[in-house]
Amino acid sequence: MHNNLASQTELQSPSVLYLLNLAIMVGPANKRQKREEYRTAHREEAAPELPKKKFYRQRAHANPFSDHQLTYPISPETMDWSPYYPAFVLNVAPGGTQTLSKDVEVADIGCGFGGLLVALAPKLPDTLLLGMEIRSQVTEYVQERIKALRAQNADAHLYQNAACLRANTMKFLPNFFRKYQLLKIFLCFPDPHFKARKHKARIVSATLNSEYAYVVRPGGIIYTITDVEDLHNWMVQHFDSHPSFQRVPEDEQEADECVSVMRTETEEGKKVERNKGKKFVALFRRLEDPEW
Amino acid sequence: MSKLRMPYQCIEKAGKFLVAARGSSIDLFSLDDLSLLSTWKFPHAQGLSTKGGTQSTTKNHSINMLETPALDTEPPHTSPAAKRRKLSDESSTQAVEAGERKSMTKPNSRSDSVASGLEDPAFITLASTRGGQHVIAVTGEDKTIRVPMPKRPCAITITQDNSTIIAADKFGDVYSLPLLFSELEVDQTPGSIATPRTESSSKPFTPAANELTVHSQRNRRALENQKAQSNKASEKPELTFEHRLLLGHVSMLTDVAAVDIQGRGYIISADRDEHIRVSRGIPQSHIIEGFCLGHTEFISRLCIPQGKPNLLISGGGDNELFVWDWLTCRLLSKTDLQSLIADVLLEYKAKNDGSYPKDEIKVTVSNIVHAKHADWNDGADMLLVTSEGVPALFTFLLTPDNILKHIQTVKLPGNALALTTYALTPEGSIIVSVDSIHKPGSITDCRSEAEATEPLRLYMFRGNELNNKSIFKPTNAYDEKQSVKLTNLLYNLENLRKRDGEAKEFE
Repeated sequence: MHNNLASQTELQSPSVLYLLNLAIMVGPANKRQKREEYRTAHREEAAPELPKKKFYRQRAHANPFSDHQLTYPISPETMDWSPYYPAFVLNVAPGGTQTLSKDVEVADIGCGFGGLLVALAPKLPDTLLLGMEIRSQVTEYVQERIKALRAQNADAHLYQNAACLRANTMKFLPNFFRKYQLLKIFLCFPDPHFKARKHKARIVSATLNSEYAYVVRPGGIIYTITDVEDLHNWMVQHFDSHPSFQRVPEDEQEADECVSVMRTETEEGKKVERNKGKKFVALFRRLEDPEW
Repeated sequence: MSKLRMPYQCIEKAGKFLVAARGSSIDLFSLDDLSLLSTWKFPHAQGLSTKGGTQSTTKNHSINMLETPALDTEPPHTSPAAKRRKLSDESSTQAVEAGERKSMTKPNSRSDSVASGLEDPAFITLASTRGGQHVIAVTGEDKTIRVPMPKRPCAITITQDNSTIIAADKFGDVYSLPLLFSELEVDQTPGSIATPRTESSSKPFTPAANELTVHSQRNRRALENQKAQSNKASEKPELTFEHRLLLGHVSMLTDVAAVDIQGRGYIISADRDEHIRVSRGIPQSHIIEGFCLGHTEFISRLCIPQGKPNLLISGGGDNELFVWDWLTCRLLSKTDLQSLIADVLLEYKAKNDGSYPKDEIKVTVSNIVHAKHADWNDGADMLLVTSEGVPALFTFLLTPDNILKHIQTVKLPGNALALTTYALTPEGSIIVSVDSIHKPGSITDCRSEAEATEPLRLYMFRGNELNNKSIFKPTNAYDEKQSVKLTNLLYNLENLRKRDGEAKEFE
């Protein structure tokens, strides 16, 4: 029973989920032990191989309203980015605070296993990309993946501009980024939260869009993609009706190189491809704020 | 139960009157002679008749607007007839005129941690218009509704032009509603960022997922079930009054302020997740100007001193009070409150062996009130601060370089609950509501009859010093209820603190 439950990764009923949690806490000791051993070994390796996903899987949903044991900076000014982008650390006098030569300008919110991040990093070598993911194990996977890619491509100096951290962006986005700091935000295959009473947990809403507008500078772009038509309509409707955003016309959208990467390189994108599902893309440009 | 006077959980001055809420009743006092003029009771019977047997499972949230006796009528103390002016008369007239008698029920399965234990819904906050003509009273749980809100309002304020109520709710959204209600207007008024409804209630239900979007066996089964299910009608009734969604946090809102500065309006909102957000006012409230970040615990109170609209004093679960230049989101100063509170609680919390775990004393700011008048306390900006479960009032002087300087710790005969200021020319006075049920320093232990105290007290400035002047004339507000249950009503801010372990995450 426990084994059976624990092997499921996508479930719907909260009560079953609770059982699942219990099952993992007390349940299959062997599997859990193996996972931990693998992950510890991977962390300690200096030049590791790419991590195996099966040791980092975590259920696809997280409650954005609960108080996870999250670490987040008090404010963007107090964020220490140096462990995330060591190649971009400015040499400062000993004892001085470490700063980066540039700011993070692209955020992949809900980056999952990091497919988009890894595909975009070599294409935007001079831009710092940050994946933000609420699930701790998935975050660790992406961090290990980037570590391995950096080690494997040390000569070409690739992937130094990509990093991932665990965050609940619905609550703490302004703790990480200053006003107008970002150029692009990606919202790829977000949790559709099908049930009407769960719609408030969606990553796009009238009120959250104001926060995206706050961290994205005028002219910046929000990228959205989903295989759920209803969610696509929802996102379009909410960004269209927000005075700070305007939809990017289709010809311009198709000319954007990030769009094809988003379609083909994300894990979800590939999964939808395999299932021959549809993908719905929409881009929104941040407009200038009117006078006040 | 002993004969203890019921404490007032919130008080607010409105013109020459003091409006004080105890449980689900509101007392109206004259500020001229501190006498009780009238009491407005929650229309209990009415609620029962409209709701039938469903009260046990319903919980509503409402904003009640009461009209205080107009200031141009004859003074209430001149004739006995005038004294009998009942708030309820005004309020029901108001409500009927506005056509807002509709009731709304909302099933709530969550265990009700905020329930006061009172039979009637208790008032959780009060606000008055600047002229004192109207008082807004908010209930947490309700049976009859004047203005039903989609979620429980936590904080309200009124815009500087006195026309609009800004209400912040438990779910993190901030709405505006007109002070004087007219018939429902369309929701899509300028300034609202709410999107048009995606599905009308008449549209048959179709699952948003399809075979291509679900991949696991279990989800596929769930989808089949959904498709087989008959279409359910939407159970949420439409709101029947004009209200606009202005902005929202993904957090619980704790306080909200509306300020005008240099001819522009702003809304400042604070939440449980340490954020103070500065947004533009209506109709551009969707634009965030900035965040005042620096708190490391929940924020519970915001105060913008009158005459210094660029300053903001904030407090909550942190040990310090923060002073901000909110328009530039700059922290100007921090002032320790924890050690002052620890000094007061020493006599109540010291252990038998004489040890006193001073560092364990937590700050839970429950009031920050600005007190200034040209004729009293030497025209200085004073800030009056209280913390939950602490029988004291702390006064601070706001110095010209924007630092809070502790002036005085005024010991109170009971835990401070609410306070308000008013000018009794030429002296300035502070009215403090103290907990007359629980022992000072405790939020659970009840007083004995010998320890009874009056719930409302008046203090007066002499220079920068506050002195006890008098108490309000007795009311008949004896508590017949189990006072233990009042703890949740009187002391609910500490619950905002995040606890270790509570957030323990399952993997």
